[in-house]
Amino acid sequence: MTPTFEKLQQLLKQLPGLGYRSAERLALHLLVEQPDRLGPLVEALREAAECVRPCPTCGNLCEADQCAICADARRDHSVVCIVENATEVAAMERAGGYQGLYHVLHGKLSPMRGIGPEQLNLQSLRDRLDRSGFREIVLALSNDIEGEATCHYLCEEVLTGDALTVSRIGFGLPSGSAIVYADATTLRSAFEGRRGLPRDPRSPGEPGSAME
Amino acid sequence: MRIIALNVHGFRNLQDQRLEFSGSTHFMVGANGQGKTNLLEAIGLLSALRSFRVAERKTLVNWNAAAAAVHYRVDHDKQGVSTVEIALRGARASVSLDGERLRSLGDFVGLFPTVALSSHDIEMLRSGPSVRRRFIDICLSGVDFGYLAALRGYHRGLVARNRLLKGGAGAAEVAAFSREMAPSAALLVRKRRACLETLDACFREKYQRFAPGGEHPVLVYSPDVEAETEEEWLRVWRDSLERDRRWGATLKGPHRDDFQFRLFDRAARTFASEGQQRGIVTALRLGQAQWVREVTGERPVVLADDVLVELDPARRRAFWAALDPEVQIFASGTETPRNPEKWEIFSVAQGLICREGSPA
Repeated sequence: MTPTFEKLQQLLKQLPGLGYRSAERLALHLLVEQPDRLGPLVEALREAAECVRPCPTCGNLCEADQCAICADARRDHSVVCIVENATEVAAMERAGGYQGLYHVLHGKLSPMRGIGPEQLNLQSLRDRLDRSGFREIVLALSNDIEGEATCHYLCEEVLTGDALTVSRIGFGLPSGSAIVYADATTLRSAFEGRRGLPRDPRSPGEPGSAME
Repeated sequence: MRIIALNVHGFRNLQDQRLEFSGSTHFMVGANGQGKTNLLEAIGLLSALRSFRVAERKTLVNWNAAAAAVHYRVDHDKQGVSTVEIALRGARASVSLDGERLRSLGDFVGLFPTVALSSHDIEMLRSGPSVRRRFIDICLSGVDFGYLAALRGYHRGLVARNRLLKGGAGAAEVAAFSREMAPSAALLVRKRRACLETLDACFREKYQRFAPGGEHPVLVYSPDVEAETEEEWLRVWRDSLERDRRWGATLKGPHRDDFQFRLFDRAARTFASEGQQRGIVTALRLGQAQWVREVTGERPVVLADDVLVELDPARRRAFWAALDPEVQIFASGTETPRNPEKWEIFSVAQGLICREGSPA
């Protein structure tokens, strides 16, 4: 292999999800097998690097002054859903059903990886909370120790406004699945997150207290 | 439960083979390093996929094999005859029950209990608290997946919190991880207390066989902090924050729990004789077997690795008197037992296991 090829391979290898072999394959593909793809790819990278940036308001990807979601006046500007990464915004949007705004933290608290509150997109969240009178915050962070600890931190340190309703998305059975196929942990969290079923539209049912 | 047959492939030094067992007492005899303990270890994997010898599963696969598999045919007290297959690849393990792959360890824990006696058990009396905590953790994790999940969660939180304390992170950040640890800590303490209370009763009953009418040893839980609710733990960690910071570690918590054996109101580790100490740990393991049966409704398979020979004749008699006669036991030793008529005997050499007197 030539020195320039190796340099390219080294750079590709540093990208997330790529190992030595895949980096080699990619480099070979672009330079030898399908060189006609190289030009458009380089151009796209250059263009993206120039245009795409985090939305100054919410941290989602954007190319204008604001991202498409923040700029959309038809959305509910009183509800904010907090997520870890921009990919989760895309996933939530594909799922549909949510009409509010987002805030992307660009990570979660992780002492093991050296990610503390300073590394998260929190200052702009504080600014937004001061500026706009939000009604509800939905925490859609992952259901692991670090995600949960980040939720605790947000509740204690950032989401302190009295008028604010803070909720956590539910965890439990995958849609369309039967109870017998769920593992014990999922079933437990589904049980803990159970909700009342309205038997009469005017009086919503209350969950029982069968579990501690 | 009773193991009827076993197939091993690529497991430690054992040669690939199929073994069938009849009756309920099986003795593996052979020189050191031939594979006696490895066979017992393969059987022990049935409880929570854990080896009773090593913490890392990786070492279970033979050096020359990419993967290992153990196939068990088990006569289960409640479910009848079932087949279990455990496949090991590196540190990963997967389980199939009656041909159906289980998706979560939680579906497996507690189904096929085993209790292992080993010559290292005496360390529970002689060594520090970590050995005793490991005993109680394995004991509970083998029958209660909720406990295992809380234990894992607690330790993950603990590592993160300690990292924050060392790095001088803000109080709010430390508190966020304390809050994640608190429910697990409370659950661990509650379950350990309940377990030790029942276990103490089983242990004392078994010990009567070893020292009839004489000594009354007691098993006492000594938690680091008497806190059984989430709120109490949050208070403990809030109050100890400054000290924790100075040390760069969480100084209080269930990770510092201990339990003690007491004899005549004194700690058994200093006052019991060598023979008494062996009697105590053997009775504890037999008590554990009874406890497992009370909790799961299933008779555990008992694995006695090189321990029966170490007992003197009186204590060996006590062992048999204390053992539930219905329990299946796999024992190992370097010499043929003195009561060979009691056992189905297998000889073990270079990883090959043969029933004595029958063609291989």
